[in-house]
Amino acid sequence: MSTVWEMKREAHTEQLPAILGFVDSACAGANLPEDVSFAVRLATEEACMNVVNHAYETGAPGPIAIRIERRPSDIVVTIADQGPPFLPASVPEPNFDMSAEDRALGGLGWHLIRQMMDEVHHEYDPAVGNSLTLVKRIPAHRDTTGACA
Amino acid sequence: MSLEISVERRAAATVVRIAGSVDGITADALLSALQEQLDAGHVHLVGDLVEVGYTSSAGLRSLLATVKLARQKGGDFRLAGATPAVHRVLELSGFTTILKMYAEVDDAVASFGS
Repeated sequence: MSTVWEMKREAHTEQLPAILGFVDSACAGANLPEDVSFAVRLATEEACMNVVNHAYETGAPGPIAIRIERRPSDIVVTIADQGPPFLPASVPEPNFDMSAEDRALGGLGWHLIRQMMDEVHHEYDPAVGNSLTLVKRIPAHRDTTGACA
Repeated sequence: MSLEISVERRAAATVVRIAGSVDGITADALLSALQEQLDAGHVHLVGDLVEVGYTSSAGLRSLLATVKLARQKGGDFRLAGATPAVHRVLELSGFTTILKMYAEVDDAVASFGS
């Protein structure tokens, strides 16, 4: 038994309220422990912002498709775009050995996705584009209020 | 996805109280509000995060930009009252070691007086 939320929009900043509103309401409606909901919302926002800001930098704007599936023991988010291949390995890790004055603004999105989710998979198929899958497990011994059972 | 920002002047610092979610939509408004204070000469700034339930990296960008600008102007931007979830995002992003953070707003304000 699972519940699925799906949306497809143009990956444009004008669509951000709709995209982030969708993510927010799916997380709120998925009956998740508070920390799991926070993590999924954050990782999904970061991934969507990456697509909106970078996927179509070099070409015509295209779509972003988001699918959120709440299964009994985990939640699976899939974010697809039709931009050029995204290379996760090419994203540098942020350097924390710097003062605030020297730190770059940004560059934290992908880092937070990796930190927040249990599994992160990326696939590129020339016929359909990029597909990023994020998985967060839901601890079995906890109820949805986040308290220990 | 709303954000409410209010400002309180105290003797040692200006407290900017932030309430709501700081995300890819609201982060720009937060940055504008904080920079407005710095531009007006209020360079001893405290960000009251007690009522911030969520922040993404867009919010962190606004906070870091404010710290940089405040320090350039001879002041600082210090944070207080982060909830455990927001504190974790700050920690995972290496912000807890480069920003001054306090559990209580009063302590953050007092830190400017010493």
